[in-house]
Amino acid sequence: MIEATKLTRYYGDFVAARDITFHVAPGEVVGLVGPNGAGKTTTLRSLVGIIKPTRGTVRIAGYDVQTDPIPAKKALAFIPDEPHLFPHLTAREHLNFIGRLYNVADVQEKGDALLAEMDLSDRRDSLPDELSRGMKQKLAIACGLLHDPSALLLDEPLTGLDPGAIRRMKKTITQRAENGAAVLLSSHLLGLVEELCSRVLVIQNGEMVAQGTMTEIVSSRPELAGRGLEDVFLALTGQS
Amino acid sequence: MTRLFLYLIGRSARNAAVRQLKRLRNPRYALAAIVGAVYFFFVFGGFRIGEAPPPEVGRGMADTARGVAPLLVGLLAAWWWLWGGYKTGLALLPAERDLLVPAPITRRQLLQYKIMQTQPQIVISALFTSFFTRGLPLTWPLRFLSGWVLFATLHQHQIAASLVHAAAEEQGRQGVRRHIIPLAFFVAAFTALAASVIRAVMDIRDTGQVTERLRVLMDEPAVLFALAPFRAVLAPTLASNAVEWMQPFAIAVLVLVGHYLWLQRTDAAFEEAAAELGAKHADRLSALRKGGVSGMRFTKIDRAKKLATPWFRMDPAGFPAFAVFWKNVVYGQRAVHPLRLVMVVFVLVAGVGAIMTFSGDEDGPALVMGSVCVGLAAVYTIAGPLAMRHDLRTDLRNMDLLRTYPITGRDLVAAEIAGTVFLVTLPQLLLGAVGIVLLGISDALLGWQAGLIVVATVIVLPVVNTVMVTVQNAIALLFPAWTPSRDAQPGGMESMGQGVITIIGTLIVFAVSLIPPLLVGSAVAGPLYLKFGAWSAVPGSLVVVAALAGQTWLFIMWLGRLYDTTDPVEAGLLT
Repeated sequence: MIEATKLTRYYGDFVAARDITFHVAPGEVVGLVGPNGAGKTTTLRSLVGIIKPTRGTVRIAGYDVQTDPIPAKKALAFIPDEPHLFPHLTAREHLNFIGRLYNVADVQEKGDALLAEMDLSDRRDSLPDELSRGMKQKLAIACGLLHDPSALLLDEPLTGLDPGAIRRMKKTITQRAENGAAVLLSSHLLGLVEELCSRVLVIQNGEMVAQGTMTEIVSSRPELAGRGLEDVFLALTGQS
Repeated sequence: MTRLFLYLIGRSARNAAVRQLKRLRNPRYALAAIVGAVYFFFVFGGFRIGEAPPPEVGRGMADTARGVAPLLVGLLAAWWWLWGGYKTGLALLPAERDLLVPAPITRRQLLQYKIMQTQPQIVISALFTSFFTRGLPLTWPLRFLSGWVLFATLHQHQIAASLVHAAAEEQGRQGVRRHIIPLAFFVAAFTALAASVIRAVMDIRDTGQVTERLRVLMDEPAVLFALAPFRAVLAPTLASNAVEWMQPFAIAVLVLVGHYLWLQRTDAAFEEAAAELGAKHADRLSALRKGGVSGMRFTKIDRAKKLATPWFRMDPAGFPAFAVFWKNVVYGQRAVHPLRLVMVVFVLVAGVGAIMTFSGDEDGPALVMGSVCVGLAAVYTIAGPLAMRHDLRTDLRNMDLLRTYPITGRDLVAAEIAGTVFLVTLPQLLLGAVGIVLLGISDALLGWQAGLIVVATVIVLPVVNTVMVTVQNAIALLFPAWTPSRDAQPGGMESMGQGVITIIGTLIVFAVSLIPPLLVGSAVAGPLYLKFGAWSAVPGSLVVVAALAGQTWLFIMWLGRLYDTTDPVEAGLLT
C-alpha cells in the first residue's frame, strides 16, 4: 500500500507539491501523469524518503516514511528514470550489494533469474560503463525487483529499453501487481499508462487536478466522453 | 570557431560564478568564501605590501630551483609517460561529447578548444606562482609570463605523453609504431636519467654527500640531455634580469610551439590508429564468425578486462550497512589499487637497498629502507584520507539512491567512513610492519621496542585514521554543494576556501579533538606515575585512544543525524 495524505513541499516560496492525497492499494497499478515541472518528481521523491515533505504524511506498507523509515524502505523499490549505478561494481555485484542491504536470502538464485529475465546473463561481469543505456536501465530495474517489494514506484521505467524489453517490462509490472504489489507508475507515455493502469493521478502546478479511473475522470468532464487518455490529459492540463 | 569556443568558455564561467554567488546566501558557504578571501589576502597582500626578501635570498632560491626543479619536473613527466593520465587530460564533459563531437568541428579544433578551456587555470597558476616567487630577481610581469609558458608547456606535454601512453597501451604494436619517434626520445632520456641517478645513489656514502652529489648529477651530459626541454621552460623564471630573460624566454616559447605541433600530430595519429584497429577488430570478428580462427593474432584489445576480485565476499545475511562498506572497499580496490602502490614502494625500496648493498654498504640498507617505509606510512596518515575519497565525498552525488536504502543515516555514515579507514590503514600497516622489521634488523630498534611499536601502531592507527576520515566526511556533509556533481563544480574564491578548509580544517579539528582524550588520559596516568613511573604512559595512552574512539563515535552519530536532515535539493545535490 502506498498512501499520501496532504503531501506538500515548498522550496522557498515556490510550491512544488500541494496537498497531494491518494492511495495505491495492493495489486493496483496507478499512473502518475503531468506536464514537465508539474511536481511528479517531487511527489515521487517525497514518497520514497529522498526529500522530506514540508507538510503531510506518506505511508508505505503501513509505515510512515519519515518516522519509521527502515521498514517503510524495506517494503519499497524506487526505479528512477536515470539509472544510477556504482561505476566499479559489476552487474552481478550490484545485485549482491542490494541483496545484503535488503537481506535477500536467496540472492544468487533470484539474481540469476532477474539477470536472465532482463537479458543480462552474459553481461553479469560487466561494469556499468560497458553497458548500453538500456542495459543500465534493465540492471537498475533488476536491483529494484530483487527484494520483492510490496510497493513499487517507477519513474519512466521504459526509457532506453528495446521493444522486447518493453514488452517484458510491462509483463513484469502486471505480474508484480497480480502478486500483491502496489505499483505507482510515472510516465509521459500515456499509451503505456492507459494500457497498464487501473487509475490515473493527474498533477499540474504541484496540485492534483484529477484522479480516478478514466470513467470517473470523464464523468466530471462530460465533454471528454469517448476520448482517450491523451485528449483527457491535454484538456485537464489546459494544453488542448 | 575560436569566437564560438570563447563564448562557450566565457558564458560557462559567468554562469558558474552566478551560481556560486547565489550559494553565498547560505552562511556556511559565505564562511568558506571569507576563509578563501583571508587566505588570498595573506598571499596577495603579502606580495603587495610585504617587503621583498634581500637579493641574496632570491639568488639562493634561483640556484636551488635551477638545481632541483628540472629533475622534479622531469620525474613528473616520466610519470605521465609511464602511467598516462589520458582520461583526465582530454576528458570530455557529457555535454561536450553529445554536442561538440557530432558537430561539424574537426578533431584538431576540438583539441584547440580543450587547450583553450584550461587557459584560465593555467593563467591563475602562473599568477600565483609569480606571487610565491617574489623573492626571485625578475619583475612580476616577467615572472608571470615565464610561469604561463612553463605551465602551458607542461600541460601540453602531459596530454601528448598520455596520448602516446594510451596508444601504446590500447593499440599495442600499431600504437608504438605510430609514436616511435617520441617513444624513442623518451626511452633514451629516461634510460640516461635513470642510469645517472642510480650511479649517483651508489656513490653516496653518507647523507652529507647528497647535496654535492645532486649538483654533480645535474651537470652530467646525460642528465643535461634528458632534462633539456624542462630546463628550457624553467630558465626564463630563473633569469637574473630582463635582458638575460629575453633569450631563454624566446627558447621557451619555441619549446611551447613545438609541443603544440607535437600534440596535434600525436592526437591525429592516435585517432588514425584507433580507426585502423577498429577496422581490424571488425575483420577478426567477421573471420571468427566464419570459423576462421586459425591464423588470427589477438592483441590486448581482444582480452576481457580483468577486474580485481573483491578482497572478501559478502553474505546476503547480516548487518545491511556492511554492503556500503564492501562497495567502497571494492571501489577503492579497483580505482586506486592500494596494495599495488605498496608493492611499487617495496620494489623501489628493495632496489635502493640492493644498490647500497652492492656498493659495499653493509649496515645502511636496512636502516634506509626501514626509515623510508615508516616515513611513508606516517605521511600516509595525512595524505591517505585526502587521497582516498570513496566515501560520502563521492557518494553524496548518489543521495537519491542512498536515501531509498533501508539503513539509518548513522549506519550509512559509519559504513562510508569505515571503508576509507580500511583502505588507508591496510597499506599503512603493511608499510609500517615491514619498516619496523627492517629497523629491527638494522639494530636501530631492539626486539621488544619493535614489538611495542607494532602493537601501539595496530591500536592507534585505525583510530587516528578514523578521526581524519570523519573530519573529511563532515566537511562533505556540511558543504554538500562542494561534492563533484554531474553538472557543476565549485571554483574561484569559494573553491579556494574549500581547499583551505579541507586541509587546514582537518589538521585543526584533529588537533582540537585530541585535547579531551589527552586530559582524560593525563587524569588516569598522573596518579599511576607516582607508583609506576614511565610505565604509566601505557594505560594513559590506552585511555587516550579509547576516549578518542568514543568521541569520534559520538561525532559520527551526529553526522548521521546531519545526513538524515540534509535536503539533497536544497543542498544542490539534486535538481
